[in-house]
Amino acid sequence: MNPEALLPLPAATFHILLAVADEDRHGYAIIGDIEVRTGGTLRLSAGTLYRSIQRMVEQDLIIETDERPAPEFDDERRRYYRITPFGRQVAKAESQRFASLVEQARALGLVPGRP
Amino acid sequence: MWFYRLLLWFCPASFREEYSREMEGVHRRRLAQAKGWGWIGVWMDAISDVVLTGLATHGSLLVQDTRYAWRTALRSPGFSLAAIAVSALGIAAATSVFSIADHVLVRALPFADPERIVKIWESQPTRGFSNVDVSPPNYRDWKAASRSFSHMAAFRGLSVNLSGTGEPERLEGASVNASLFPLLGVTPLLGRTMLEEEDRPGAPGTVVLSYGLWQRRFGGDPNVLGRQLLFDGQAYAVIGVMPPHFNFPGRKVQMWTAMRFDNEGYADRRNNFLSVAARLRDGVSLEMAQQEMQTVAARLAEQYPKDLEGVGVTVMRLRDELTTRTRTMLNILMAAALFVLLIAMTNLANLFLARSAARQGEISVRLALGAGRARLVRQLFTESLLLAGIGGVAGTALALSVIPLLARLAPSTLPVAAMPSADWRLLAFALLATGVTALGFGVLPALRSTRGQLSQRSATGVQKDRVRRILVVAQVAASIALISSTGLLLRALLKVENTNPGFATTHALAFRTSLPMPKYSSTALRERFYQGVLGELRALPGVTQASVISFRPLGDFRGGMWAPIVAGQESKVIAAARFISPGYFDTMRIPLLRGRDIQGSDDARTLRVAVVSETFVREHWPGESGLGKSFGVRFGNMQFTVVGVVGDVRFRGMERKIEPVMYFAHAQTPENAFFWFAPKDFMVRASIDPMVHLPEIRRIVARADPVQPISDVQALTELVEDETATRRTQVWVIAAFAIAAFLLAAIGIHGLLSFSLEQRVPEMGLRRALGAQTGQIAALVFGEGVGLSLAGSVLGLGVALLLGRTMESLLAGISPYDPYTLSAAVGLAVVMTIGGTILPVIRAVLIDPAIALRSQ
Repeated sequence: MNPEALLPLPAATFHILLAVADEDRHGYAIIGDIEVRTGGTLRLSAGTLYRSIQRMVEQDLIIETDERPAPEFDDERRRYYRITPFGRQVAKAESQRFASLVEQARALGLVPGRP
Repeated sequence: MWFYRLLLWFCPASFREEYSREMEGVHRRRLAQAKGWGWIGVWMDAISDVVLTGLATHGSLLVQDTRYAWRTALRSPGFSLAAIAVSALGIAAATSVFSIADHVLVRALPFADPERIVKIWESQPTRGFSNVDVSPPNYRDWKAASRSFSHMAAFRGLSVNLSGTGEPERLEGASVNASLFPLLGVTPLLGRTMLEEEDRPGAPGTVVLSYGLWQRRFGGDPNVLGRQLLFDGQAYAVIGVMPPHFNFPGRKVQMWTAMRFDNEGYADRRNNFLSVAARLRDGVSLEMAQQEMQTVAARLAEQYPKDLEGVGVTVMRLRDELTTRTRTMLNILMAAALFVLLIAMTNLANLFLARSAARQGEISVRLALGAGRARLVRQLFTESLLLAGIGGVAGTALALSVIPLLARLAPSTLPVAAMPSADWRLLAFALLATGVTALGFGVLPALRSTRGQLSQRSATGVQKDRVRRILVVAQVAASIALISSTGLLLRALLKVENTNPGFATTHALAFRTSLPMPKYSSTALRERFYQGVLGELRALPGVTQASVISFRPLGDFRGGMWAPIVAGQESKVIAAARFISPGYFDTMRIPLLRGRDIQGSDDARTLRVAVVSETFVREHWPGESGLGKSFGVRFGNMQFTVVGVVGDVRFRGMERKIEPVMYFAHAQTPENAFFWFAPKDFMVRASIDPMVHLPEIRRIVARADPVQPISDVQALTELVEDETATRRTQVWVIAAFAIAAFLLAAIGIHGLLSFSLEQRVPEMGLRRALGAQTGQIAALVFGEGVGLSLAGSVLGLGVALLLGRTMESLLAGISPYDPYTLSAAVGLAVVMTIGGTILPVIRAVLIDPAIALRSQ
């Protein structure tokens, strides 16, 4: 499947992809990561998170993983999610879309800093 | 936490199973992190989050399942079309009948607070009458003495000649007390209704028009108020127009005038001609009002023992006035419609069971791959919902198109519109029927086909077959029950249609010229009018006879029913009084059995004569000829001598027992009396269809009196057909239901046998290979079909007998155990069995053992 077909991604989906891009995380850790990265402005609700996760699993953007990253911190009841290669492609495509949007905005003087 | 778990039930099972524990975990952490009263905010967020998530996931599942269902439906278009057609049929039957029954039986009448409106009648329990018209003095005394009612009003039918504005016309209306309109709580569309002071003798005439009359006759002119109309030559000013759906007391009424009584009008307690309506006072129940009225009536009966001996009172809700017959008929229709819906549902359930068997492979693979059972059931149910939904739309459209036909079953005497309106109630019912249908045929197969593990699949086949067998037996039973009910009603219809009315109906017509009073209060003047018109009618080419009578038989007026006084004793058996011109019996082909007809020479100067019907003679002078006997009537204290005896006629309805009739000579009517009984119905018999003479007939009447309208033109054949019109409609509807049921049941047998045969192909092949003959194979399959239809027929006949008993009142004397009907139903069951089994039998016989065994 062409990664472009899924764009633009819903905001929550993109954030979740970013959250699992560097390491496998469980649900609550995803919420926490997003909260930290957005400076507390985005706090996903449980419903939004798991509805997004359900769809992302169906779309093969992420998978549930059996491997536990750090056994000493692991709570075995939790489910961990990992980004798939396809998920990574989609995240890249979405980032590029944003980058080109930002380029255009900059050309119009809408982004602070260098023209 | 239990509350959070409960909340999660908002989400679809498939989602819940997967993520409820995780979501709970998140929620628990949030609660733990909340400080002070913060937990309130966390809970608020959680509630809205779960509800929104539930809605969204349900929505996306629905879209997904519908898309899947749509693709599945398109993949087997034959199956889908069959399912849609069958559900449309069932839903249409149920919805259309519901709409009529709701309209007639349930829906509130179009008046303010209609449950508090009652009708009050006199009753004569000793003579078996519960609803007798009320005499003016009794009405007056009831109204004065009772405390249970906030309003009481009397009204009566009225029929006048409208002239002075265009073509003269006969109008049906009602003469009412001023308090009737406030009683009903309906305000006029234009102008006002009568005032109390217009209710008195001597006040100027006023009239309120119906919406229909206003539109038809005055083009909806808003300036109609104040116009003067001539009713029977008297001036009435238009004071108001009622809104479109006001039909009181019945649908035929086109205008309302004030009813007035002077003291003389209140004199006779045995002159019963009023209808009385009343509105219960707040806080007074029907039972309380009944009790009070019993006391009032008992006191009156004590006060006037001579007139009111054995006279009581009946108080009933306006809505309950419906005849038992109408009720029974609608109940039967509802039962029949439910049968059709049930048959349709079982049929569909069978179709789906058969298909789920065919899809076993797909379903078990999906189960094995880990699809949740709830998810699969939901998906299968979405499929049946989709098909039932399309069927529901088609069925509702079908119902809307047949409602006008069914509307003929709504009696015109009810104060409701002729047609039920298609509104949210009908739509809600159609929706409900669709939902029930989908549940009925969707859930069972969905549950069954997803039950058990892959390894058990094949073992459940036998059990599934048993369910299908029971469903087929139920279909056969329901269709046999419907068929026998139809048969009974059809037999009753034929019997009524073949009843001899006592007169010949072909090539004859009746028309009405109601002569206005006091213009025609002189008997001689009326006689001149009749003779003039009759002379010209008889001269028309092809016309063989013509005559005139006070009320035509089977007409809309029961016309006088009087108790004759024979040998000084007032008879308990009332007889119809009819005033006629000479030649009436000849015109009607009523046989003159003894003596002579009324003659032109019987006039005011000669002895008062009467011709009576045979039943009259048998009643009063059994075993004698009756000729030369004399009897009297209370009205005008007249004495009559019998000069002729004629055959009986059914003048009050084809299904009533024959009642005695007295015919009097109109020329012998006393002056200035009996206006209501003045002849008005002309009867014309011809050697050709007399309808061709209608324009000439109008000209003849216009020549005799230019402002005299003619109305109620009817061929005598129509007169008799009208008697059976509701019966015929009813038989048509039930027959349509029965045919649908019959076809569905036959298809059901066929489907089941074909399906089980498919599963038994190897077995048949083996039997063949082991030397079974063609006959034996055929008998095997045929026997299975016979077993099904036998079980269904026995059950169905039992139900049919029960149904027959409940509708005995509609059967016109046909026994509910009528052997012809029952044997016809059995015969049809045989046809159904053969029709349903023939193809599977042929297919079984044609099985090639070699091929069948190789496929194993």
